[in-house]
Amino acid sequence: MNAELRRFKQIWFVDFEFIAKPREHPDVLCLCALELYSGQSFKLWEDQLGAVPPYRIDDGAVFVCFSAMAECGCHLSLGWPLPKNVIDLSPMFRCYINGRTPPAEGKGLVGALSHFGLNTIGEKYKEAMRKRILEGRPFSTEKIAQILEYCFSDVANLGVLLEKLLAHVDLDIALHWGEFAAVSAQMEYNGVPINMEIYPDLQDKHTWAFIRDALVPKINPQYGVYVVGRDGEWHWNDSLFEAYCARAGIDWPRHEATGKLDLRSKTFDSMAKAYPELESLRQLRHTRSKMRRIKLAVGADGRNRTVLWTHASKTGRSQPKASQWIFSPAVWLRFLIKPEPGRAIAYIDWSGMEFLVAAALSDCKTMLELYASGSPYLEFAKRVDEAPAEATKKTYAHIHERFKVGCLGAQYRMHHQTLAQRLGVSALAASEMLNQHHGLFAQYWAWNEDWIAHALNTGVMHTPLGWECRTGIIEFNTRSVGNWPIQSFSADILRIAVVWAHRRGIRLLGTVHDAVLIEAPIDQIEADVALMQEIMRRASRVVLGAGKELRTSADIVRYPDSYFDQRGEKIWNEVMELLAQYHARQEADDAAANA
Amino acid sequence: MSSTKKPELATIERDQQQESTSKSEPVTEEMLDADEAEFNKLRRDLPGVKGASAAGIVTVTVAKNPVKNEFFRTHPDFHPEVLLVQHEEGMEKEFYAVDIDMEAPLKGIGIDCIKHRLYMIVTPRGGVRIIPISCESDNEWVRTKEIAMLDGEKRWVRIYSDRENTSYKVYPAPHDRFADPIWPDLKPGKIFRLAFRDKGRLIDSPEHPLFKKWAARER
Repeated sequence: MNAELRRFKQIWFVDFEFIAKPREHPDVLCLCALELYSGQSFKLWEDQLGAVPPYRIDDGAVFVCFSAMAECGCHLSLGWPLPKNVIDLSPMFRCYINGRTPPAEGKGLVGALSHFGLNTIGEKYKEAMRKRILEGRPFSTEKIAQILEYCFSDVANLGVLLEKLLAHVDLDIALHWGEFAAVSAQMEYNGVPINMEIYPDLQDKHTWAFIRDALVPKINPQYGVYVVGRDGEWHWNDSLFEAYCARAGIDWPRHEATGKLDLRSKTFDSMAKAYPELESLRQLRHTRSKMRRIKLAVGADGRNRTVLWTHASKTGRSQPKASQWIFSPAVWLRFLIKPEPGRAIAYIDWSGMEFLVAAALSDCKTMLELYASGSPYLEFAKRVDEAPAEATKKTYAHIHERFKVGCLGAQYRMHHQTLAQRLGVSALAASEMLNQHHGLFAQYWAWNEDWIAHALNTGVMHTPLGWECRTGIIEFNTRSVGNWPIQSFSADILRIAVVWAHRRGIRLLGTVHDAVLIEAPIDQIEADVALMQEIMRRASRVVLGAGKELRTSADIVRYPDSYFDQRGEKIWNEVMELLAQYHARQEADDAAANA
Repeated sequence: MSSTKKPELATIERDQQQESTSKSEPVTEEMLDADEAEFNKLRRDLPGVKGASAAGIVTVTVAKNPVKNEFFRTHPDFHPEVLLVQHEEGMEKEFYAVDIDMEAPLKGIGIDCIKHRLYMIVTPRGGVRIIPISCESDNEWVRTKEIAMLDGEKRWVRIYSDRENTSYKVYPAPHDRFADPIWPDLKPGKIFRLAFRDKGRLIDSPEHPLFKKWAARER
């Protein structure tokens, strides 16, 4: 076993079996654990689990598992504290396999064992056991024994897998990722407070069907793109949308092969950024096509919770399931976030994160100067004579937004035609903006070229906090390789901030790309926000190096207020109006029935 | 670059009943410094990537002039003087460098070599070019072009032909319009090789195809 592990007196391999319910805490069925040095083991069914874990979770022991989000979630569900030291083999394997051909069995435990040629119980057997567990109680004595054996077989494999993976990941980094996964389990456990005076109505099938249909005549008139079909339902009409675009002077992207309008969600997302007047239509379309039912995972305690899937993306960022998560593309739903009485929440995000990370990595003097000005995108516009010297974000909001999209698009090596569509400008103007970006930030571009060359030469990319991606096996894409460090370094920063904030007692509710959501009593929220901002500032310094710090901004929502996002305001107001109408109609129907 | 609001860290105390973790003492700057030192230990320096892309440069263009109206900067140290001949093939005019030992043989077949000073320029988007300036010509076009080259060592400039005065006008870019120039990580010898020798444009023996072609024509 890896010599560095000797710093721990006990090494516990742990696995729980539980009934997973998306919106609730895990319903724990059993626990199996095995200690490396002594060989001590436990196979405990739910009725044998006590008030504290049967193993050490202090400084002297390490808790090893595959997917700490689940196992630590079980700890919290049982009212047990989180282990002090956690090694999660899942992100270690994800890091190891990142950029390599993934195993046919997937990136789970079976896939990891199979990749290293270790004995596995087989995906089919595992799937069958999972299915039986999810079917729930009652379990016969024979089945209990079977489930415990199945659970223990996972535990027994963890030791060899740990040894294999520690050959590729530093122990301290593994512990850091394990801690992040544990804190993510805590965030999931905490959940985001939801307005339970409204949410149950929206969740009700009939109420939502009424609102969903009634929203169309409310929003559609300004666009005229939905029509009532023979079935009496509202339907999207491509020709009417094409006519609307022509009327509005919008050059909508088309599929190259067919020439038909490109109506994918991501195209709508980007076009709505270029043409803010499309935002309500985008949300309406999303609401109608993706939200036949509102599937937010809200538990009986009025909290939205979903697995945050840490380290899920190539860049190491978390990827929660969009349909269950309140921070999904349906921005208007965020108005449902409402702190409980006496409580407040705060949404704190890093300002211009991708811009400064790019500046810091390339040591681009001009980018660093522009970030220091406090408004890098507008300063960029000023440098190329697209905004006067006295312009501010308020007075030149449209220019600020345009150059923000242009800057981030350029960093992502966006083609000028795509940028033109995104900005609603001519291809020539977009091309000129990209040229200006290359000219003004030449140092960044030279560095990015060097990064790509180095990554492809050496076959691997790293972050300072150990996340890696192989290149030249399945990862060849220049754009992807060039953008990887920006995203992955940002993910490093987020992980440090989250772990750090948790250690210092801040109650975290979730992470959203380059932001965190925290909660505190009203009289403490400002102090917690200040501490969180300080931690976020320092976390950026740890990853980017001394003198390179990200600013943050915070929005605090105190009870009885709800979360506000301007982009969703129109639809939210319409939904509330329709909800009131629905209730009035119900009451009238009830009164008529009683009469 | 600092946080918009300095936290009053010492005032923050955790409520054990309500909050998820169990730190009860106030959080101070010293505690955060200690945390930061611990996180810094996790950080590892990455290998430098500087210059990695230069290995991929397999050619450097030699052009008579910078592209008109395109801003450029001139490398302050790269000014070698070499003998050049121009060869016209169809619509294309190419510069060939000449080894000093070949000056006399070329003269012998009626080809005059002219001493040029080479300037290396870079455009804002990273386009690298060699601009040869004749050391022997005294016309206004050549001299004003060299003025632009020397000006380009200090600031971004562009040139435009002023036909009335038979010279180039030299325009500086507005201050802060472009960042500092980025030069490819190549040594002078390699630049020369990429610009001439590797393209077969160094006449260094009578066996050079162009020499043989000219010699045959002479006969």
